[in-house]
Amino acid sequence: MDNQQIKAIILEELGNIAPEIEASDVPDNEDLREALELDSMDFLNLVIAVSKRTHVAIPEADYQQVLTLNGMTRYVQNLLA
Amino acid sequence: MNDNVHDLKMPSFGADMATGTLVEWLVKPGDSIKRGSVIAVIDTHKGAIDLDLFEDAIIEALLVEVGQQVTVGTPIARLRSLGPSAAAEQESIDSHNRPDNRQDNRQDVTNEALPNVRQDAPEFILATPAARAFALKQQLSLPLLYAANNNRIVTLKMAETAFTQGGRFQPAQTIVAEKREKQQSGFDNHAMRQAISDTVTRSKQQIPHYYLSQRLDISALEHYLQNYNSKVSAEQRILLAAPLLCAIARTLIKNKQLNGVYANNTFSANDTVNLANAINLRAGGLVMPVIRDAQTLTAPLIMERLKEQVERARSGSLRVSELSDGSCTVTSIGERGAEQMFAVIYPPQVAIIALGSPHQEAMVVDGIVQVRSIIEATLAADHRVSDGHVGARLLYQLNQQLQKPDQLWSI
Repeated sequence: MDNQQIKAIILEELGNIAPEIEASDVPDNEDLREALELDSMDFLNLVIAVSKRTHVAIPEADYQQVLTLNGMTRYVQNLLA
Repeated sequence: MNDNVHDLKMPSFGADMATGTLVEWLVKPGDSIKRGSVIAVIDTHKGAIDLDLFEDAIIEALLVEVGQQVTVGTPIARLRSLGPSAAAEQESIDSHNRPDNRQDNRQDVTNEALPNVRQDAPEFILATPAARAFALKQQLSLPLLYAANNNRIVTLKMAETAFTQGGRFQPAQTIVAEKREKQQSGFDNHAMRQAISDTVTRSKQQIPHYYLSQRLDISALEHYLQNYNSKVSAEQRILLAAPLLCAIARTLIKNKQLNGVYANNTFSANDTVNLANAINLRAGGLVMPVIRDAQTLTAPLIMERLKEQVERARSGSLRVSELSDGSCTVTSIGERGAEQMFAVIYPPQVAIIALGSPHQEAMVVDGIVQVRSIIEATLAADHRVSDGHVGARLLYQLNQQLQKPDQLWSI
């Protein structure tokens, strides 16, 4: 899975959680919770969905690394490599 | 008709609801349905809601077609109730869908003649002057009372009884729905805001609120939670909200004057905690699904309920059974934002607990200054029912309970 594919998966799952948001409106390097007003349940659902699709587990201790779109993409890619 | 056969009527989900549209039947004649199962989807001007059965029954006939709009109280299906022995043979269902006796009464079981389906404008409702005045004062809907009382003249006694029952004859809960596909939102924002506005206005006009505030030290809870979550899969992770609701429920059951309903100048304490949890929806709506018997649940079980309810709230499939009978409400700012919130009591309840966002503070613990994780909790309570020391006791006990988080993971 390459960078673009991972990003696409994340954006897709974001679309399930926040359907009113266009993929093009999702910033690359901002805290998703603030930029998209995701609460803790939203964020947990995002982590669960992305983990399931990429088969990469994201423990709570690593949440700081996956708060942005680029951050989460990078994290998943590193663990898939 | 024999004794087991009766009609299911179009229920009301608020005093301002006069009609509902049958959007979808999920059953057909001959189906044997278990209590708690969703049998139809009903559309109101506030959005779609799932209609679930309060009893085990066989569908004898569907009386209303898909797309048909009928007034509240109109029979929409004929059911044959199954006896207790038949129910016992069936598989067990989610215990949280099991209604208490009050809800069974509200099902309007009747063998009387059926009113015609009316699709024109509401007619003049026959009611005594006393009933009319009472209904106006308490913001009850006369058409609903009329229909629910089998089209007999509405008397003051009927109106008072209905008011005590709450729920169906008052703007109790607001409901929101999104279309099941990813399309434009399906609920009427304006109608929802109006309903919320009416409710909070009524609350502030009629309920003498008193307010108390308490800092909850959640350091121990956070630590326990972190540890627990590190050992389970993502699907089993628990959010802070779950043990907080758990602790609140267990504290509420010990403080009866804050857990119940006030109607007709009388307070009735609930013997169980049906904890309403305020959920803000992305499209701007607010719903308050109820977690029944919350004091009997562990934090993991409450987390499951929360997940289910958030999911159902989003897809517009919240059930009648989880939007009624709340005995107290919890509302929360969430993880970021104001540190303290004061909320408005949701009638006919008598208390509401509001949780600020968690943050760190320097506090003195055992004589030394430490950094602790804190949530500011406030309680708004009905002064007709309880005094300050009762509220203070609840908040104190809540904080104490949170210092023993392991207890929240077991019964």
